[in-house]
Amino acid sequence: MSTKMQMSMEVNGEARDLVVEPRTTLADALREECGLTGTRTGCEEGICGACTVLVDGEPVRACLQFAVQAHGREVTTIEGVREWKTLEALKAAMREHFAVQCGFCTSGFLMLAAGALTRKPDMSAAEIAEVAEMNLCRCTGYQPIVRAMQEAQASLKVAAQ
Amino acid sequence: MKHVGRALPRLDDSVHLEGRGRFVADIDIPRQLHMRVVRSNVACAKLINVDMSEAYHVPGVVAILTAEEVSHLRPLGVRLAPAPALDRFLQPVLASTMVRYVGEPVAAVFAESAAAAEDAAELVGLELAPLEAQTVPRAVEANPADPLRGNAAASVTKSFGDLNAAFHEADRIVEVHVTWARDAAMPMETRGIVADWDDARGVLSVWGPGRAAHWNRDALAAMLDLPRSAVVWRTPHVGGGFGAKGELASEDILACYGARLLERPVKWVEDRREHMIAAGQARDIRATARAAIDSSARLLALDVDVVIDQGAYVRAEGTMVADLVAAMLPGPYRMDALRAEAHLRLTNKTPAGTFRGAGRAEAAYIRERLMDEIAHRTGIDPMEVRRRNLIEPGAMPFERGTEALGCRVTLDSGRYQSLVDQTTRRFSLDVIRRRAQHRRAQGELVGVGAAFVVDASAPAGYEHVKLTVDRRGTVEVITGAVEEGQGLVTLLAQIVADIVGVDYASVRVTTGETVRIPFAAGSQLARSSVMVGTAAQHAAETLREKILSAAAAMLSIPAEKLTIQAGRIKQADRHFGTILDLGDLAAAMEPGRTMRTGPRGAGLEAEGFVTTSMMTAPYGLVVAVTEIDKDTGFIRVPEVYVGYDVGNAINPGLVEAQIVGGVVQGMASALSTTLGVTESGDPLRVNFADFALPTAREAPTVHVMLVEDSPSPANVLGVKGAADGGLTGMAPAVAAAIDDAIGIPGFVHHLPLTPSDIIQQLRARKPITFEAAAE
Ligand code: FES
Ligand code: FES
Repeated sequence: MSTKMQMSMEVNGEARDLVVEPRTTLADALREECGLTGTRTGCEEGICGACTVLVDGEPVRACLQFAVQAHGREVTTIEGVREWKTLEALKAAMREHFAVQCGFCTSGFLMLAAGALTRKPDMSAAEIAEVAEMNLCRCTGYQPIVRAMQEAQASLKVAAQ
Repeated sequence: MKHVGRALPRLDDSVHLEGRGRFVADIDIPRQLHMRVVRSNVACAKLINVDMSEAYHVPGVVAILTAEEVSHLRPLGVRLAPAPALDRFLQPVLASTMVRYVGEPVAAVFAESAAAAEDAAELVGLELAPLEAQTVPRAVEANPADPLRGNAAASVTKSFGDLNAAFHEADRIVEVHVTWARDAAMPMETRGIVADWDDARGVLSVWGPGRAAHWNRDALAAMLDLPRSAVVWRTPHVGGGFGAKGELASEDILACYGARLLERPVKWVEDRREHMIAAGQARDIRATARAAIDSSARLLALDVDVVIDQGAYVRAEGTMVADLVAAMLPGPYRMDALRAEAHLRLTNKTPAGTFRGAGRAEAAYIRERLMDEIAHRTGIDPMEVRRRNLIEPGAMPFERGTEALGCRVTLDSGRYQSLVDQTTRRFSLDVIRRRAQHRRAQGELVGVGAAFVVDASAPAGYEHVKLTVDRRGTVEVITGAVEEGQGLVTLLAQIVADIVGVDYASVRVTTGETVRIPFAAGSQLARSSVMVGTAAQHAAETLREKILSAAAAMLSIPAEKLTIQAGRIKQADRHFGTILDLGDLAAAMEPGRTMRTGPRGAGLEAEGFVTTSMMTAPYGLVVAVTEIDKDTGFIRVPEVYVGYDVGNAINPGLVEAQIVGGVVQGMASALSTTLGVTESGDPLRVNFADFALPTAREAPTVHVMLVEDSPSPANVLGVKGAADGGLTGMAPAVAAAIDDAIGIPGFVHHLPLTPSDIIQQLRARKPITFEAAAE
């Protein structure tokens, strides 16, 4: 079998040294090596977005990256962030709008939205909807998720004023 | 009432919002092996040999099972309405002499890591002699390549009245031929199972999606020759089911058998490709429907023939879908006679299972397409045709004259016409129609279509719920039904909280654990809110009585003078002053020397059983707007309006969420999601890139009006259930809206309808486009 490789990355603010196979994906490394199962895999082919995490602040599909590609980078997963206002606002709005059903897509949508809103806090409603188009959800029909994202943005704006 | 009837937030949201959900893939047990299934890549072939020599060389491989090793395991039986006639169509655990679809399990590899299992599975050599695959459901004659079994697995007939007389008397006979291609539930989480055999205690523990946890427990026990008490089923978080999960499949049996045989825990999680070729699929029907009508477009009779492409085998769902299609065909309309036949036919495709709206969505599609055709033939407005035929409120409860899943179909309650009126008014549907007409006159392709649906939500049956209170005063609700995202946990907590007198957020709900409750019927259709809700209500009433009488005995105050508020027992006529905490009372009732009150040895517990004799039938009007791009044929559904009566809504927020989600699934089923095979039986779509699940871009704005006009008389809560609402009527509503947009009644008779269907049609009629637009 393939030789293993050493790598290190910062996961949720903690340095992690891992020994992985070159073919190990970032999603598998997070789930299996780091025990962070909040990152889900629904397709492992880059379509569903359930595995979305932030790498250096940017939302990426963790199933499409090899773990070794995250060497030397900062990775943020759903478990990692406490008291991050953007994420908290999103969570509150998701709860309010019944945007969680089975919960399988939830971490991915949260990381996607939190990353996007951090990069560009003043997205238009249409831009927010475009962000939501990146990930799949089979339960909610998206309406509650999109509304929650828009409301979270609005509440963050109010808070910032 | 403090909780019931309010759109309170779901109790299990935080778990998912914080990524703490524990799905089956998240469960790991020390020393576990990973299982990978070797599947046929040919649709129909003789299986000559399975070569494992190379696979065994992969480091980490522990065992490989083929049909030979599991020949003593009987094929998995039918859960709902089993019949001996189905036996020869059941799926073997592993294929032995024939493979009958692409994806059929042929061997199972057990290895130390998932990667090793996968590598080894690829090296298992299947020697197959391909035969001609049958991909179109034919009549009775057998597949020449597979002559030992016929193709007619089962037929279901529902009928009442004098069909011949009705057709003889008819003023007019209207006929439609419709088809609906294969689709699938396609939850975001694939299937999986973890099994752990504890040889010391002789217990097999299983973690898996369990819409029928107790049935699965019993089936596994029988199959592995164990007593029922030796199998424990636990249901972790389920990442959406919609019918695709929870019935035992070959893979589940293999994992459990492997765990016992190898005395190591076994974990199996399928990948998306496997899910798309191996999990149960749905729809895939063709139907001929004829209506006999009188001169005022009143239905006299329906005569319908449905062929369901069952794929290669009959699975645990048995004839459930055929049964529901036939039984639910008459829907909400009056008629004198019915003949509805549904035939399960075998082909070399993945076996059919169920998908949300099972049987009812198909029935609604056939029937509502027929209603639109009647409108077209008679020149009467489609909504008016429906209105004339709807059963009137005075006739409720209405005996439909058919049976579904072994119980009489009764429309329990409903004010159908009034729902049409209210929905029309609330959403100004007349204005919406006029606006579409106006836009058509400007040359745009915009249309509006509607469907009236009645669902069978909770067939008669039984349920059982247990309640316990511990020393902290925590009330626990125990049910065998499972949370699949529909909000069961929350609504049970709401029901119990109100009756017992505690905050719903403090109620713990335990679902799908067979050790905690001995029997349960499971959660097919939308029965959990109705049946489990009612059982929880009974249990809570008993618990309340127990609390009050035990407190009365302890305090020497008459029970009538006591009440429970926020988990504290108080004197009913005083605003202040707790006299007893629920936890203290529970402690006092615990068995042992400290027991001070209550029945000996029981602790503070209560049970609720419910057996109902009447099904519940939620109903609704679904109206879809479509816009079609003339150049690309692309069909958009910008708006959907739903008026739905669920009886009393325990949590309107949850009901609405279910409906919105159902609408989008239904829309996708009508326009994009489909699983076909090539002529040789190779699946056309094996990944998300090809299977066009809708994204937020395609999702319509869904406007929902919940009506609580007709509380169900079938249960005290008055609930009808709602989990399939929204989906059931979408296919016919979208079909009608497309007809309307392109101005050709009856154009849509095949689903999903694709842009190329539209383009072909538009090209064909090009010369007349000008006139049509000028009308
Ligand atoms: S699992 Fe990564 S995109 Fe689906
Ligand atoms: S909530 Fe189930 S997939 Fe989105």
